[in-house]
Amino acid sequence: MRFILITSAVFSCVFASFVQAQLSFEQPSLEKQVEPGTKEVIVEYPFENKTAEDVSIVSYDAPCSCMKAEVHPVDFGKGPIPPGGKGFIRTTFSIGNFSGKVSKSIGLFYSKKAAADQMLDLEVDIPILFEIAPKTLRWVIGESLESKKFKIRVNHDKPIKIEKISSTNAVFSFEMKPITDGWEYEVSVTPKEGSPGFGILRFETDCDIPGYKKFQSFMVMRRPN
Amino acid sequence: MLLIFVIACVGAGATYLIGGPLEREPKCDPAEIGAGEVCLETVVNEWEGKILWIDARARENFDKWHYEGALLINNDPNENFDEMLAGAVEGLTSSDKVVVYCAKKGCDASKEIAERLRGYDFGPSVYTLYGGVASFGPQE
Repeated sequence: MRFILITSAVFSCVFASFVQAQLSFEQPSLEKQVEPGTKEVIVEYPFENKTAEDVSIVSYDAPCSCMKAEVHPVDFGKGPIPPGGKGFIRTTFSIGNFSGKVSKSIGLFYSKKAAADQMLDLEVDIPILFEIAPKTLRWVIGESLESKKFKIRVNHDKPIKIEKISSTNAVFSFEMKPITDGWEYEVSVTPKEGSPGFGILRFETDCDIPGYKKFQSFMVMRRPN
Repeated sequence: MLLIFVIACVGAGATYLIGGPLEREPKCDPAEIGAGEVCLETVVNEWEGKILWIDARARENFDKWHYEGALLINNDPNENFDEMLAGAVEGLTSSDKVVVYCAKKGCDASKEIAERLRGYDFGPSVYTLYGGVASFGPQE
């Protein structure tokens, strides 16, 4: 019995010494709503080492080339953060072609491990100014060549007009009808023949916000599964 | 004897805690993978019809190596997603299934691209490859 107790105590002491001390973050999860046309989002995660020992950030893992992270002050990213040390991790998310709600996480590693010790989460809400439904009109070969419709809605505080519409495939004829000019449109598409193919409808608008000038939707004639 | 065993256990435990688990090639068990994921073995040995492969990694990695016939579609902010999509739409609409892969097991890029492609509803079912590009073995 005594031997078991001593062995357990030795195990506990040895393993306790390897339990990883971590930084304390005020808010490890952040949400950000951005304005249309925003190119990047910068957020900061303030931290403090509330433990009694040094904590070192061995590495941090960004999930994509669209995101980068920096530890501030810079010294804390290179060496140990002493007890009581305060700083922040600055994360830059490049919006690029993302739209809608996008979630990304930075993994923090305090030692060389396969899995991160802590995660810093960011949810960005990027406005979708043109809502098009459906994004693809589909027909199956053999079915009736009836017209189908795209519905387009503008989600903005001022109207955005569609100035030009073009198709990459003449097999699909189209007709656009404004429901409320600048706010809501309907595009009716009719395939002229029932052979496999696809087309892209390209829209150009009077929107002066970068990234919202053009958008596209698709038309497909598929073989039956 | 028992002491040696205890010391060995402590050493092994400490090694695991410091160094983490051993990195192994991802083994794929169809019963264990998540919804929307697929094992390479399943695609190669069981699926029939035309499969379109989508590489969701950065262009730099795609240019170094990509699975034969794969097309590049990624979320890189320096790329034009709409152009990449338009370039791939012929394959996306004429395939029976689409499989998206990214750099490694658990990478987000393939899941994000797969989700975006599902939103377009081109027709084929869209999957992500379990294990990422490492599933194909050495690429050199």
